[in-house]
Amino acid sequence: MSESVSAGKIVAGFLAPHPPHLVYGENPPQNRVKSQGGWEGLRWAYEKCRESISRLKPDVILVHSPHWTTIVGHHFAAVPSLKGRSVDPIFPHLFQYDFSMKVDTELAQLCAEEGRREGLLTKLMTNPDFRVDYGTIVSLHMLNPKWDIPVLPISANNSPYFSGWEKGQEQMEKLGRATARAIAKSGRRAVLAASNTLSHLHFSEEPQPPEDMSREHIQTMAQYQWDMRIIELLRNGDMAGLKKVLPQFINEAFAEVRSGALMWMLSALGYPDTKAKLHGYGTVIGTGNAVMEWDMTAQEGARV
Amino acid sequence: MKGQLIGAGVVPGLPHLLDPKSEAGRRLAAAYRELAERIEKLNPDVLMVYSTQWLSVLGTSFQTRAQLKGKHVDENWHELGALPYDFSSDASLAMAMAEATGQHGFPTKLIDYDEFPIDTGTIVALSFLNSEKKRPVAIMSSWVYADEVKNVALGAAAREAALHSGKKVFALAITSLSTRYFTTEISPAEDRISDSADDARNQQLLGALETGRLVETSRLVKAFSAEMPVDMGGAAWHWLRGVCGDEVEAGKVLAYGAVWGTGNAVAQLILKESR
Repeated sequence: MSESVSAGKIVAGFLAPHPPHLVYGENPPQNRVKSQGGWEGLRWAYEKCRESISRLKPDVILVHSPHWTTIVGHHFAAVPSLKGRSVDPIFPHLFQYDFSMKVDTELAQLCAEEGRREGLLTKLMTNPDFRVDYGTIVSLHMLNPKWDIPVLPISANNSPYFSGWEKGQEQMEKLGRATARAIAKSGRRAVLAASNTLSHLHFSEEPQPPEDMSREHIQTMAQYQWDMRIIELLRNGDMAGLKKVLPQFINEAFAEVRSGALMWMLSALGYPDTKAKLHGYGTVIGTGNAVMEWDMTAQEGARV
Repeated sequence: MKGQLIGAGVVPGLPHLLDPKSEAGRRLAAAYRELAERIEKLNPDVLMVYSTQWLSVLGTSFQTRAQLKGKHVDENWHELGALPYDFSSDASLAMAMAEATGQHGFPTKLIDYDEFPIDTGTIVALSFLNSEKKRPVAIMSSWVYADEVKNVALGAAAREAALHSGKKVFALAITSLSTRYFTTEISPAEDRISDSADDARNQQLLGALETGRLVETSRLVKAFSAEMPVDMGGAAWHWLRGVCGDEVEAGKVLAYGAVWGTGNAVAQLILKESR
């Protein structure tokens, strides 16, 4: 598909954190483990995302997950159908999920091609036995539990950890630009999901049952203050302010956004001055999680 | 009931070794086969496994699923295909290791779940060292929040469990040395330790291993972790020190070489009582 006939655009972006507790708390049929609920604040925030997605009717949801880590390049799932059971290696007692997803392989190829144009090393993941990571699945389930929209899982190249913050973020910026161009060429209406928690220090022991919400709170006051500062910047569309404080946030709050998903998404969105909507904030085993939305249909000049 | 630690080994867990294309990879694979023969002669009842590629957050996890069978696709090198695995657990030893770990004051978790993901490192090591499924294994995770002191204590707890198991136990630390990967595609002929200073440090570490002084290997790996990327900060080396205590007489490095830029060795620790 040539650029001249492109009609593709990014219709929305979501900050879509992936604690498996959210799926566990919801008790969907796909998860073999059942709970008494819990983490409703975050789960109800995701309901607002589901309403938006239902209204926006995207053709595809792209997700960048820190739990599909790659060393050599940025990888794109390119198997038409992926199916299996994903058991979370950290919280196996909460997440044993039977997944089945349709993958937009054409868009995967376009993203890989555009990534190479940016000078990135990109690869297609074509192994049908690949077990999809829980981060990808949780974010996608919470956004669209019906799984009736094709998806495109993208790996988190570990350059932010391996090569340092600046080089890593440079990679994510390029990946975001490449993703936006690929979507434009594809003709798709696309939703982006940045599968990231904010502050990521957590407790090393969990209550029994894990959904005992009387024990759930942020691990430290400093973490909470950092989370609120970041959310406020995003709510104000202050991209310059965000970029300025992000390295300090990552260092002091062990923030998972270091893995690059948020910067990938914001880059793909063109670092919009759109005020992001906060659908909800909550903690999961001490970490800080915000569910946020960037509605790109509501803003003139949104990147298409 | 008295048990015995009859030996220990350090082995790499990268999937390239299952079908090696590089000269170093072939040497490491051959050394793996030699270590398998050495283990066979020692005839342990059980293999105790610590893999840096099985990460845990809520303390240390212990695999207690009786039978583990399936296939695994590496998240980075998925083009190498699905890696099959089929082995049984020594759940009683794994539970005893967990209990001993708890007695040291550390959180533990028993893992008994269908389709729980087995890590690439464990699969690679057992493909070489337990290919005929002769022996059960007792696998523990690498706790991401454990530092040198904690990892030594975790090893000591595993040792205590082994010594009370009534079984002959061979301990395996699955780890690379330096982990400065090439982040680009390379041909097998291009593979080498990606940094010459890393290479020198790796060889210094292996030299210390051959003396059998695990306090020194632990000290070196801690110091090197500040200068180069080391697999899980050298956690497996600290764990090995705890497991072996002061029983090590010598180490024998069977091979050392690069896999995708990282340093890897196949080595055996010869214990005083097992000579």
